Amino acid sequence: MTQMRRGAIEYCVLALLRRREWYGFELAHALAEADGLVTSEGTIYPLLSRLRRDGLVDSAWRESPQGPPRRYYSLTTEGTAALKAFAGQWATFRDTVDRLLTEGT
Amino acid sequence: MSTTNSPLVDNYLRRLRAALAGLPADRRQDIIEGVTQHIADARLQLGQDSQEGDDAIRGILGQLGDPDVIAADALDAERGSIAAARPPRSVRNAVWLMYAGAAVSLAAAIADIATKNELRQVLARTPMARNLIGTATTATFTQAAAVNLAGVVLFLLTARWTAKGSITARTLAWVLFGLSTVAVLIGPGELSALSPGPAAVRVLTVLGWLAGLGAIVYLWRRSSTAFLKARFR
Repeated sequence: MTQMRRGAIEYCVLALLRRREWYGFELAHALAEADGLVTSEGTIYPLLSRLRRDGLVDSAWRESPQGPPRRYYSLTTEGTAALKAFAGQWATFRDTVDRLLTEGT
Repeated sequence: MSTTNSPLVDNYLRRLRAALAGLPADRRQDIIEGVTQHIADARLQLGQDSQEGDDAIRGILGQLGDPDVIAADALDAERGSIAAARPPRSVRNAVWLMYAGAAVSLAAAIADIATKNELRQVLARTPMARNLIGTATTATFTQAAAVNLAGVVLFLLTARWTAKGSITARTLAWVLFGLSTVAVLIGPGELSALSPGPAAVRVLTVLGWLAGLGAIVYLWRRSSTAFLKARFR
């Protein structure tokens, strides 16, 4: 996976965590479903581990409605700030690349 | 919960663990735990509407991806962040000085061995009983060589810990510098820069001390402290 792709997926995970807490399997599934954003679902686990180390997400073991206790991931204040900053930069970046690709100016 | 008791899963996790060997143990454990939980969840979901068999498990593992691919991606990402946290100039200078110090200490040990006869002549000029000169020469010569070789080992160890980004390096640097100062001031015999030993050994001893001093000064720069403490966490 290229650095750019990996970076973008990290922010996709942060974006998913904005509304509620997710557990690993759910996240992996959602990203794999989203137009094959992730081809090897297992790569999400090193990614979650990095986000946790960098303090962008937090996690806690919790009982779930069905099944065993699971590690649930949530967004930290730092994570929210990082996501907000990225969203702004991304919009500009995307527009610029789009313009160059379609018009060549 | 049907987590284990599948040779396919066990084998997969074993391969993943081996492939992740380049990561620190706690990170590796973190990833293995996540993947293990993932497999359990996937099997739980399948178990509700289909007959679970080896094919189903192969499907789950296939979706997860090859352990080598996952590990390669994890290590690649990690290298990216480690490269971003390249040691600051002050730390690199300290490491450079420590290697120089190791080289100087080694040269001092060699000079000591090479000048054994000169040492004997120096001692012969002192008001020492004639029959003691041989013993004194051997004792001084051995002590000097031992201290210099200890210096080589300590310099190399400290350099290694510094480059690894461990705060322990600063403790080691003080031990090294203390030893070096003792060697310069009171020395074991001819090692002392103030005593009338062979000049080459004295000059090299002082150079080693200066390398240690320089390394300490660099290690106490603010940028070094930030680097060593951040990595220690």
